[in-house]
Amino acid sequence: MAISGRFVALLAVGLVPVVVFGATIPGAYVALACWLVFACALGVIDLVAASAPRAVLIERMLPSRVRLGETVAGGVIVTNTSRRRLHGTLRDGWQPSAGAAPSRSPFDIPAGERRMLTFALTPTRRGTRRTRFVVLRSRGPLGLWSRQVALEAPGALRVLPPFHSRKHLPSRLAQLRELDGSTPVMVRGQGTEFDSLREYVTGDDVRSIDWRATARSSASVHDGSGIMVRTWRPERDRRVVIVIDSGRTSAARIADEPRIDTAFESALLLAALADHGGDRIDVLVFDRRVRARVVGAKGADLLSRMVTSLADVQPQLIEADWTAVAAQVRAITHRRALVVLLTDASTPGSSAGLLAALPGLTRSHTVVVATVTDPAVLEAAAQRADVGSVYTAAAAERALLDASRVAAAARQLGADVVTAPPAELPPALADRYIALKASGRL
Amino acid sequence: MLVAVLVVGVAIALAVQLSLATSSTDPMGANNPGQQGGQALARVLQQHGVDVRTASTLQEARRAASIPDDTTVMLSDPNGLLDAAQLQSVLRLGSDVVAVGPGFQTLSAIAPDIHQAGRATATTSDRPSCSLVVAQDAGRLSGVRQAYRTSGGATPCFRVGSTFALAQTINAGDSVTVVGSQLFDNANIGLAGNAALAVGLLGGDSTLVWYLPSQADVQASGPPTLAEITPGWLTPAILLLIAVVVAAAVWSGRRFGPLVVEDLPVVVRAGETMHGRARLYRRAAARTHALDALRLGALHRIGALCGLPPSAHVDQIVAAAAALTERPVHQVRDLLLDETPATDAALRASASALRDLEDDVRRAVAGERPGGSSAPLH
Repeated sequence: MAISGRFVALLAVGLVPVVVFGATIPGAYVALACWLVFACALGVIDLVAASAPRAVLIERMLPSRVRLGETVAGGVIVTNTSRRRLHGTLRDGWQPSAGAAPSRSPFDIPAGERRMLTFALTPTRRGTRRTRFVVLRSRGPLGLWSRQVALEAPGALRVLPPFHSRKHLPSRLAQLRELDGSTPVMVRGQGTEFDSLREYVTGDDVRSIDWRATARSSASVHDGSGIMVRTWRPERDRRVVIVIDSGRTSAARIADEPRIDTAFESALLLAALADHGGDRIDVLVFDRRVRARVVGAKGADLLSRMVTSLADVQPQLIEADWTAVAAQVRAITHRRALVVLLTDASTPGSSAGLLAALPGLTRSHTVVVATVTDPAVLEAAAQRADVGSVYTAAAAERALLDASRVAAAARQLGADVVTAPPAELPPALADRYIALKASGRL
Repeated sequence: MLVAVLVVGVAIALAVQLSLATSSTDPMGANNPGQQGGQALARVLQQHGVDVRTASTLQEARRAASIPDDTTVMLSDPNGLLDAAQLQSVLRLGSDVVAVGPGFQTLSAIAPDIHQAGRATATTSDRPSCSLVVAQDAGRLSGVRQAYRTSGGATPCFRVGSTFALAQTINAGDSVTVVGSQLFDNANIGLAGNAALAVGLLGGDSTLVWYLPSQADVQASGPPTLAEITPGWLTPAILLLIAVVVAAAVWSGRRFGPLVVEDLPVVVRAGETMHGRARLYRRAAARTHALDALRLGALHRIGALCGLPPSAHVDQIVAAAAALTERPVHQVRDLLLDETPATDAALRASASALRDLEDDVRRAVAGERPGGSSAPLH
């Protein structure tokens, strides 16, 4: 049961009879009592006349997924199964970070009919946003008292990572295409593949001339130079394993974005790019357990499966177990692969496990360690405003030195290191992938 | 001797104590022995066999005046405590009423024909010109202060200038006599014929009610109390308003369904370790340590700017930096290596100089002239 402002106003109007009949004290008390009884009686009549809010059917109209930062429309269909008109207000019990607006919707449903109440959802946080119930407040004809009931009506909306870094995708795809096809590749690496033979044009690398083919072709072809060069295309069907660290260090916010979100952005861009590059991508989110795993997906399905499985992953407050990562990678592929570790390698203390596990990985794979750097540290290192900021600058300098020592150690162990601020890490990692592909080191 | 003085002193003290206990300080009080008192007159009347009954309230006066026909009432109300109705009932107490020094309101209530005439022009009156027997017996009066004037059927007596020291009005056999206030007090009773007049006026009946009105006679009147002016509906109206407030609280306080629970992520700021370490440096005053951290960073960057390998010796970097910025080698070496800051100010100066050196090297490498900022090194 709930009362309305109208009932409060009705009670307040009681001042008039109390004053009018208040010439004597008993008269005033009688007027007061009569008015209270009158108001409450009206309220009870109203309550009895209100339609039963339990006599409804609730259905939900919801999209299953939405990208973070976007708005979707949701709806609740209320069917009035009673024989009275249902009149009142509905509240949907969304979690606050689902960003449901408006939070309360008025409705007026004749007997036996149904209405859809729509609202907009603008989630403010990644993950699955849920609602467990709707609350109906059924008002009486006078609008004084209402019946209220909470009805079980679960609903869920999966909020996907925003993938802001997709704006870098077209330019990187263009770079990738330049590598592809007829362009002779200057450096012939282990992984580059023979594509075709064609005639030499000025500017081609003389080392790519295929003398045997030249000897064969010059006998029949006389109008051209007759010198044949081999063309190469970037290797294809390589494996890229992206390992995202979801341990405690990934919870740290850098430039108001948790490390793990930056890692997701980088992983999504790299996956989109590598998929176009013809490679096979596997994604693993790991701390001590596998939190998410996408294996063997291709094309449009890959990104869709990635965002869906990454959506609900949150940082765990435990240390990542790097010794188990090698086994996890081995479980995905036995072939040589590009293993991208998205983690925090900024202090020797927190990176000891990573550095200890690196040799096992670099022995059989190409390893890239991608780390977010804090632009605030760089800023602090240049501050000299007062004594306090000089000490802060010293501490920042020490942090930078630590990070560079860890990076040097990782390089010494055979891994490649990519460090960049949050906004620049995804394109930097994509560029590193393109460079590796161009040099045939995959 | 000493004992005698002591005994006399104690006796005096006792006598004073006793007299204070039994005497009063009211003007015209029957047991007030002071200058303004009336004890002398009261005692004399008692000795003449008059039953002097003192009263301080109207009720006491009523009780004392048991036989109205044989009672004289002496009324002295200098403060005007009685209202008109009470004064009318005083008039009914006895056959004769003597008002000593009545105020304006008292006078207009008990004897409307007699009027105040202000201060007497002389203290001694002429011989009585009226037909009152007691006045004729008294002869002249002395110590007259207040004067009266009459109109209508009132009888004036004892002329003082153009006014009179005494006035009497008779109605239905009862007389009301008005005299000035100080005429009969202890100081003036012995002058001229004052005593004779007083005894004549007051000793006419066997009972004399000596009535001095007190605060107890004042009718309790004033502005009405809060309860009297409060309208009857006020308390019910307040109760109704309380009910309205309670209803409003229920209206806005009623929750629209259960609370929604949501687990929110922990916010971990990445810079916390850095700031913590900075505070540790500062608390421990680890200036050399802090400066060394800054120097290491600067050496790395300057070495990279000068194109030296990461494994380059520090002396090579110092030499390269000095050559690029055209500074003395020992100065650059002091800055990058040897100097030990003793105070926080020195630390800050060194840190700033370090940054300037780095900027100069960067500018020199970029092809500009060094010392653009021309910051002093020490």
